[in-house]
Amino acid sequence: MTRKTIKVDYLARVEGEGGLKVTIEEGVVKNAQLNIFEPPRFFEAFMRGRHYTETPDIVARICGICPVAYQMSAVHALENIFGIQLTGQLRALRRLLYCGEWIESHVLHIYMLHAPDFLGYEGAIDMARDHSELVRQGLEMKKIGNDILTLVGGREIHPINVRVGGFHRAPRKSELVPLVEKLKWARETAIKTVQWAAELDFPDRQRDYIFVSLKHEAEYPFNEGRIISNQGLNISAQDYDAYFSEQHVPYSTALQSRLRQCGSAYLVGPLARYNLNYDQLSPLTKELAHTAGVAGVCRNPYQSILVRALEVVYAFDEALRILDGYQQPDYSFVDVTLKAGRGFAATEAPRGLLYHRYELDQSGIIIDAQIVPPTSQNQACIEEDLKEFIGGFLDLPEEKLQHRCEQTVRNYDPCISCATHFLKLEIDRV
Amino acid sequence: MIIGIGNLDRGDDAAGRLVARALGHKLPSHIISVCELSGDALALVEKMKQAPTVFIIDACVSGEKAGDIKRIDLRYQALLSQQRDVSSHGFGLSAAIDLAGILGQLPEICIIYAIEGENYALGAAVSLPVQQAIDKVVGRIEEEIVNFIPMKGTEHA
Repeated sequence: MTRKTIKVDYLARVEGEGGLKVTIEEGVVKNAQLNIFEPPRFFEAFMRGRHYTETPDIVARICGICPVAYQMSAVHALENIFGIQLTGQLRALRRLLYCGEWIESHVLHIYMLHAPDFLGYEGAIDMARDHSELVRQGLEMKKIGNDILTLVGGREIHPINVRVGGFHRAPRKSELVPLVEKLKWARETAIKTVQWAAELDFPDRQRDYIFVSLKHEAEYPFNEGRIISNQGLNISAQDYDAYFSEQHVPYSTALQSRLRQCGSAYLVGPLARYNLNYDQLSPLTKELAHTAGVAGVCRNPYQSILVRALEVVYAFDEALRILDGYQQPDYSFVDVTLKAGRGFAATEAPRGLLYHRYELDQSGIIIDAQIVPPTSQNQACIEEDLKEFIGGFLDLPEEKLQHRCEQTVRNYDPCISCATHFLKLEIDRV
Repeated sequence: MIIGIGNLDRGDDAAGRLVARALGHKLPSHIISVCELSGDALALVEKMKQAPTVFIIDACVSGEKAGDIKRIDLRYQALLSQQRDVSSHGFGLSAAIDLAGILGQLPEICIIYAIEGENYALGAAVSLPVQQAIDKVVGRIEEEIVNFIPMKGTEHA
């Protein structure tokens, strides 16, 4: 019996840690374990004893990449307690803010994290030496997402303008108008990104996933909708805990989510949204999807880069639609009538469903909080991908096999701030 | 331009942003612009191209004593990355510097102050040695800006 171990350490900023261990026995992948360190669990404890009005600013600090998602799930859950349902321009502004975050997050992943996998580079820095225009293009697009966050969210990192009931301040139309020309340029660039991504050399791997995402009758989901799956699930956020369970696995500090009834892993994120909500995409996005050969269905996780690119086109398209109809509302928030109770919400973070639950007492103090981030929901699915796909790559040289494992994890864009920081990869061949 | 990088909720990782914040209060905005970043390298690359002279302050882990201060003037010395800072999601300071260089977006003068941290736990307070280092770095950058005579090479405080 021989054993070979390959170990790679990565270090980024000090915001968490995670690791991946793949065990191969006699040419078969026997086990794959993803260990993710998960700050949202600490924030659940931080929230207890705080006044509900502090929530948007606290949860925004869970993640530097997706603060809007945390804010949106939080304010919607709290508004659920108070019986508030935003309409009109305030609702549109929240959608616009979410567009900005999707653009920033997806463009970062497409250009800087995933593209090097397909173009054969160690990382984005090496790729930039040969493809500087491609990287510049990504930077410019991401900056426009950033501009949306600054204008609607109040600042570029950890936005401060969101509050329960709306916003602290609604921007004037004249403040948003300069975005229009930039967005038009960016939409054209996003179209080229789809065309570029469609030509990448994708491993031919598919699985029969259980996709889970929000579904809204009139729009591609950001803030609202029922939680559905391609296996018949159709529930409100209030029933999340009855249908999904979180389980502890001994090798990870993060809880793994599974469907309660059957114990199956499930997939959240762009691939799930796309497969469950294709009809709600804009005509332009659908036309591009058709040309790219993924109209309606995409079950190959390596093609998630293409689906993200399509979602970026949609986000620019949707942002332009919202700006076209925007008028500064007469009020920036609706009044809140305080009451005790439990509230629930799920919104679509760039990397998937983000569930929040809060319980308040009569004075508005949080007595319990639950936050289930998409990366922990996808953990079990990532492990299953590795078990199923890596076996087909075992003839690759060790270095390439290791790279393929990393790429398989990267398909999911797991969040460094919500999830991994140190990524230690270990392959055991027995 | 002053750019402070870090996470305010992670103990000593807040060092860079606290330095930037303090300088923002001390120096007039028509002389210097100040920004705080969470560590997203692309945002840093974007910021760096907006000014001919940039000071970047960040926490670091290099094995020195907590509170150790390194000053690196990129005109004279490269930033050594002990670890390849590619993760599944983001990039670090060295990647941002590399990327800005490749794209021709590095400012003419780019000076990095790195403060050695010891406690990066979520919710932790800034440690005493790092707090003292923050005060020192604020003073040194203020002096550099006032005199506008950037020092050369790497120095230990």
